[in-house]
Amino acid sequence: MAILDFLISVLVASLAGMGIGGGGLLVIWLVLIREIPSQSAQAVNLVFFVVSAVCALPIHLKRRSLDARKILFLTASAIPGVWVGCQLASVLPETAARHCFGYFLLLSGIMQAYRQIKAQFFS
Amino acid sequence: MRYSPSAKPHKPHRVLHAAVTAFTGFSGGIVNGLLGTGGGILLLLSLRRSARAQDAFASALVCILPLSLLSVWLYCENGTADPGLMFSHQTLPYLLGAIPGGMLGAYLLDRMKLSVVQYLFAALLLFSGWRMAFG
Repeated sequence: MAILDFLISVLVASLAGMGIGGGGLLVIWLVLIREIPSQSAQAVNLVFFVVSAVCALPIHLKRRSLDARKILFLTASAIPGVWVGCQLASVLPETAARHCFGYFLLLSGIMQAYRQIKAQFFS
Repeated sequence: MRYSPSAKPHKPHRVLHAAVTAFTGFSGGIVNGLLGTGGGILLLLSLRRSARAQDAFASALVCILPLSLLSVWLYCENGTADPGLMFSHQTLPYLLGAIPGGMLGAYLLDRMKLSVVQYLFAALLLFSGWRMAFG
């Protein structure tokens, strides 16, 4: 059982380590298979992501050309946003926000797939 | 960490560019704070306009790391999640798997065909979107 959990974790962490995210795959595994409550599963997923990202970081810093100024600027702008989002979470209906963002992601996914197919087969 | 030697735009464009970047970062933060996930995608969309795809994916990871640490702290501070469970023997296999997995992902990013990475990203966007919109 623990070995299967370990293997699933390696698979999802490799997606997270690439920087494309895990799509909440670990949350689904924890909630549906391991029957951990959803909120706790999301918290475990966050810690899991932090560990994967910290381990991936030295390799990215060594191999990639990163724009440090843009990264700092984006992160600095995002931190007050996190605080605002946490305040909004107690006022806005979470389900509506989640659904709206879900549609945005679906649209982004369709655009991404379309761009890739167009670049690969029609150019 | 190396700086990318991109040509600097004219001043009015630089100001507009900085404003758009700040707005994107702020929006990504709001999404992360509100939903607990998804902010990285907005940051990635901004990063991809000016960088090679692999560099943009890596940059998004670097940006989202402090936000995730902040979220972990908020989860513990608000009592949303039990820190005892987050670091228990139950979660140990996942945290142990995250170590080689994270390194493997970073190692594979340059070695996989870019089109495969792009399709994987599209699939994860569609999957996450479907889960949020209809789940």
